[in-house]
Amino acid sequence: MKKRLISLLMVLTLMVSLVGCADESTSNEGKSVKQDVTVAWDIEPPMLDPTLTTSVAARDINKYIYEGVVEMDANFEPQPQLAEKIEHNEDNTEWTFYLRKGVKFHDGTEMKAEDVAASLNRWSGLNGSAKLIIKNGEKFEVKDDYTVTIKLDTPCLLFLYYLANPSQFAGITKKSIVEAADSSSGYKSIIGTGAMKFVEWKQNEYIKLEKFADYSAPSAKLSGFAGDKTVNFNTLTFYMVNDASTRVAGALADQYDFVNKISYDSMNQFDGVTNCSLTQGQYMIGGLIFEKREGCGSYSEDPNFRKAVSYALDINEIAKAQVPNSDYVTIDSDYMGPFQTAWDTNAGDDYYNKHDLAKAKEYLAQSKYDGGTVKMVTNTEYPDMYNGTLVIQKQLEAIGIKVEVEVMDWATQLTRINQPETLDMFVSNFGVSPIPNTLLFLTPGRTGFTHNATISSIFDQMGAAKDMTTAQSLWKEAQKAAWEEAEFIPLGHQYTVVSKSSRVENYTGFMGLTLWGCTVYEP
Amino acid sequence: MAKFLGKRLLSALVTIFLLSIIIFTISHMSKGDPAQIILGAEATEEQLTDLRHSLGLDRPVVEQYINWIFGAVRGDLGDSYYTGEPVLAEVSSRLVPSLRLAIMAEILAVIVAIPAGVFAAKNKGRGLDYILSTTSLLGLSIPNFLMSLLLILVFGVAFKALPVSGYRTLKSGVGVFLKYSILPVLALGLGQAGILMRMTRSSMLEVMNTDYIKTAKAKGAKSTVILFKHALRNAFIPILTAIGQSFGTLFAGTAIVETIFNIPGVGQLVVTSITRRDYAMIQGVVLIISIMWIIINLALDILYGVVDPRIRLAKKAH
Amino acid sequence: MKNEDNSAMALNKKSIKEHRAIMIKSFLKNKLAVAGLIIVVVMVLAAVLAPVITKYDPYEMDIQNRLAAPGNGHLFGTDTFGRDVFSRVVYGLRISLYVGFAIAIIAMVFGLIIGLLSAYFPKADVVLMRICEAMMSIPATLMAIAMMAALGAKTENVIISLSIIYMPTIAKIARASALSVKEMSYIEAIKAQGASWMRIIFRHIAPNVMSPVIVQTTFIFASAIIVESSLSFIGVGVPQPTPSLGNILSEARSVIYNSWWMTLYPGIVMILTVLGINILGDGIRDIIDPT
Repeated sequence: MKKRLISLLMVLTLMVSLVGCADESTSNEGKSVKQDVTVAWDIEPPMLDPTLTTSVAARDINKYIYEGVVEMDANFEPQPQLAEKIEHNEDNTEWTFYLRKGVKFHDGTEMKAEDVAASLNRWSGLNGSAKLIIKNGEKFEVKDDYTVTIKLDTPCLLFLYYLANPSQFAGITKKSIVEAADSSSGYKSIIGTGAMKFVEWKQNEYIKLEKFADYSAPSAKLSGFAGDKTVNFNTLTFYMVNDASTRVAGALADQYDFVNKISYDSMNQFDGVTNCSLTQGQYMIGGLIFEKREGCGSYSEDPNFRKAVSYALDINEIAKAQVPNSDYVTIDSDYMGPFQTAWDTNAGDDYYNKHDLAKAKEYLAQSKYDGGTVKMVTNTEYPDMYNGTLVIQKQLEAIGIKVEVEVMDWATQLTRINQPETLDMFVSNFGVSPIPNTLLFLTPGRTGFTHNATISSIFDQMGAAKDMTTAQSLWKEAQKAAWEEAEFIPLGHQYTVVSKSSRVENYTGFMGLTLWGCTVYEP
Repeated sequence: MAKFLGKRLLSALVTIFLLSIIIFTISHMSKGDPAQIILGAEATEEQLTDLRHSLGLDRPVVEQYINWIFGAVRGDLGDSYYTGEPVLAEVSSRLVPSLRLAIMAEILAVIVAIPAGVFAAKNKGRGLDYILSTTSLLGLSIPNFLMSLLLILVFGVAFKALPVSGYRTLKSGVGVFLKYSILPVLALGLGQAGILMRMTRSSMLEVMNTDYIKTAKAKGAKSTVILFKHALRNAFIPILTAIGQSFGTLFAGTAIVETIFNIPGVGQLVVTSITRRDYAMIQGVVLIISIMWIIINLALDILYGVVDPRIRLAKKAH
Repeated sequence: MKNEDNSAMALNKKSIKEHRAIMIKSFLKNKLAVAGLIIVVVMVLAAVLAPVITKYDPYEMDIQNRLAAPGNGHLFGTDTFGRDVFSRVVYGLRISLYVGFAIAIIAMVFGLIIGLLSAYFPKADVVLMRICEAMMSIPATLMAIAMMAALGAKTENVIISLSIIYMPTIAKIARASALSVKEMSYIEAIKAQGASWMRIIFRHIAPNVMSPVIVQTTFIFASAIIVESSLSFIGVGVPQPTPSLGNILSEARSVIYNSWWMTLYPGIVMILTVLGINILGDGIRDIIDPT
């Protein structure tokens, strides 16, 4: 009897404490603001030099430390950030950046035009997309202490979009740091003008940032990567938690305030959990890439073969294997993100996700496919790529294409992709691109291996266009041209999953975890 | 004695030299490019060439080896390609969690295995022996990773009783430290206990057949006294050797257990360095671990030689 | 002379037959060893008869039915692609046994040759044994991970690298017993008759060192299955989508919270197989070397 009473009491206490928990987690009123915010991060960045590495893991940390002269806002439009005003001439060849005065670097010195010019020249020398518009090594010049200019050889209406591109971005650092770095190793010291300054990087453990007291914010309100990016906490620590299940456990135990990259298959562990919630993280477009570099001799060189593949695919099934939770994937023929409404087009709808085996076989018969083995490569580090590849293999075999999938690790795959003669196609994904012109899979010489004369000439016309409306309607033609030749097949517009504690308020993620403006409360 | 020592040391040095060649060759044979990993998938060919040059990857392999080995002799194992930090510093900081894990697992194994081995030997051919021997065989038939998964399934998923991954230092409190250590230590230690128990049993059986023990028995000494005082003491050296030798295997096992439980030790370092093609780091870690193993064995060998002169002589005869 | 030789051989054959009968008898008396044998036979049969005993193709996907619990015709449930876990386990067992067996045999043959040569030629001995020692001073799992990273994750490469790793163990054992055989007077006598070294080594020494080598080979078989599965588990062994016990468990790990069946069943099969081989190995050792 006594025992029973005790257990009853225990159950009651447990219930009360559970209810208490639930109450606590729904309201943060009256609690003090947490000053030391923690994030569980998935991949250790190779370096914190925004101009050198294309790593997304580095980008999302760099965004707190560095800022550009322009930044992309929530509508994917470039807005002045370190610049106050930007002027350009009639034909978009001469650009003048008037910098804000009194902007301080993390070491206390003032940012001047020479720093901006040096940083931008490093960027234009390293960034593959920048080289598409700054073709002949044109340089950013210092006009006076607060003015930087550049004169382009070719007109470029979209110049600011290139500058605002978050991939391998044009973050501004000091001239002396640029000069001390070379084209292969990153910046020796990590100093920017951003809202947080770099404190410590303990390899394989954490990267710690601290609020920069002298941060000089632009007057515009926060929007995307642009505007006032002041943070409401004192330090921000990115803990390197490589292992996916450890991150999940950390999120569930409310050990971290934010957890990056929760695997889709572990999402149902968050059902009924009140101390944290899941939301969309980084955006990526998954896609099937055809190896079609000139002279590679692959089957994919042949447009009819690519069309056969395109018609054979059931994108819904592939997307389900890649991203099992449908809230985190959108199927759309657009090459640009579905949220980039300015670039919206239906040009691909007639070709996309048809799963028409008869038509596929028809194209296959016209193609140079001779019953040989089609080679695909994939890796186990990125389950979405691996899962997509296996489903594609199965679907292609249904129209009589023999597919051999070679599974390797990511490092080997990166090298293999540079040996065009050894493969026909593979699945990969790409981060957000502010304009179609920087979509890597349509850019000659970049992953995607597209060298389509029509598309290239339309891209040139877009650069030379006088206004955005013209550029946007030109894009529709380009995308149609791409679909006509089945240059690239989107497999779904995907989002990664991030977890945030219920102690967080006013969180607005933009293309990943962005913590400007949000407030985290103590438990 | 001095001659014996000198000879052992010399042969250990030759072994280490050969080892360095093997390790270097293996780690440089792999496909994949560290420069590509550092700069990302979208880096241009120009960037890659520059980085390869500054990492020294474009130099002839023999030259790279010579640079590495001369550095190693001076105690400089180079810098990590990926992080740029000195390899030696990184490895030494990673050794602490691994050694801690390995030692705890070894202690667990000893506590379980020695009494079990002694009792199995005492009851040779009877039911208890069968049960203990089969259990030990079971222990060593389960790979470390599977043991880890099963432990996670039971304690992490079904009962939600213990944290399934992560590492806490003693700074966060003894209780927390132990809570995080239980599963990895069990995963590593139980298999080890299987190996040790078998070795204890067979050395005990050997000793119990000696005249010395038979005499003690004939004199009417108590069986437990014989067992623990006389027999175990005599079987101790082979058991100690077994512990020493198996420590290497145990240490290698940490590679997988650390990966599963996310413990920042040398094993995990090897696995991540491989995915990053960080040759400098892979070479350094494998070299250091192997040398540690050689030293442990050398020490045991010498100890053995000192304790039992017959071995010294036998070695000479060969 | 020739006649004598024949009768000696006949006598020898008879004694071998008797000896064999005794061995089989004592093996059958060892109940544990018999149990081991039964487990191994069942596993091997399942692996060989895989196409007969499975209902589904191990590669056949059914995305809509992914991660389904056991039942509905799927004895062990389905995996992340909706593939039948039972089929994958059976076919995986097939691969794992094949890989383990190939490694054991290759390591045995080459290890034996190396061991015999170095026992017979003292000059070669110095070099060969140093190399063996150097290789054995790298912990096997670590060495295997590094080698597989170098060679690339392929089934053949698993066999090659693990064979190389296990070779020195056999070589050392073969060498040790060959050294004692070599000193025996009859070998000296054959030598004096002018027999070639090839003949001496392979006809006269080799048969006498086989017992310890065979015992060691069974343990290598078990150990190779373990190491192969560990390699496949961390993604450097048998590559997906080919099923192997290790890579099935590797896939299981990412869904361990939702889909216990993907860990439990392949795990049990793996444990039973390795346990069976180890028990069998113990049994064989007890007969060959009863001390």
